[in-house]
Amino acid sequence: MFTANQLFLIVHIAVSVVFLHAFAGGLATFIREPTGPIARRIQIASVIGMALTAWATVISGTWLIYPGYRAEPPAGASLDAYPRSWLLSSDATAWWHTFGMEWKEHIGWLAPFLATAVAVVVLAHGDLVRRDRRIRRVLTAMFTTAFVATLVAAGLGAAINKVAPNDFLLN
Amino acid sequence: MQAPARGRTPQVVPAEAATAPIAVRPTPRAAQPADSSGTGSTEGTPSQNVDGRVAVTIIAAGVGCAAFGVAVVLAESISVVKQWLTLSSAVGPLSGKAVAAVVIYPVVWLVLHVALRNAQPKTTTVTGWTAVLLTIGLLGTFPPVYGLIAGH
Repeated sequence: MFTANQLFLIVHIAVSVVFLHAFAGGLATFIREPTGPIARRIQIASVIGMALTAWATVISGTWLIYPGYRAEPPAGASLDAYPRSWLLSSDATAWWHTFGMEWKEHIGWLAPFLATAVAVVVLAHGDLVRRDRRIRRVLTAMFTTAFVATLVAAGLGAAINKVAPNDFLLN
Repeated sequence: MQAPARGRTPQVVPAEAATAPIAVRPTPRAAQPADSSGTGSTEGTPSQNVDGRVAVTIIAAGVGCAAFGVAVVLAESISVVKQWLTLSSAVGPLSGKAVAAVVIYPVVWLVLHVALRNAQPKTTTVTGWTAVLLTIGLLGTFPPVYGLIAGH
């Protein structure tokens, strides 16, 4: 079936895909005031989905995927199974770790805080969110920042996967 | 009687309304809309103030981001902090940075909630503080910035 690393990768990618889709539904209900019950349900589902998947994405990425990426190779081992060491072994690719992976592993962690705040405000103060355009603007900014932070992390992850060997994810 | 302006529909005023005296009665405080207290607004109209509980929820998110950014800068700048934040040898210092921010976030949220839940701060104040805190988080997690601070 699947190895543990393959399962970790599937979970990490699946929750981040849900996260990105939840953003679209939530954003639509912030830009235009949700008037009907269906729009309200979409808004609630989106903000809850985005908050939960934001936490799931960073937790799975940090504690399940990242250890395989940064594992130290034993002496004499091929670097193909050790992407961090592989990237740092050449000046031409070191930037992908020192900038790309370093930024990815950090910026993604900003999203859960922002998404959680948006979800709590919508769930606990839904009437205020519907009434007050300014609050909706603030939530839209936070929602969008969380999305952009995740997009940067996801984009860098995909690019690093293309540059560095990713055998550790697939075996 | 003045002729209605060209292109405009003349207003039809009911006879009783036109003849009845205009009564101005003060609205009882309890009957005033919620936004008169500054915590809300009418349909689509932005209010100047925001409910304290909403304000602290938004600011606490900024605190979480700033805490993570500061943890990154400290870990990169001070080797003892980096070692201290390495809670897991497999994950490295990222484990401690994440745990530190995740612990600080709800604690600060709770403290702010207790202190400000009945306040009605201006919306601009809340957004200003959140923007500053979020900027600290964004800059603190950007490798060229923390590299510069750490002298890498």
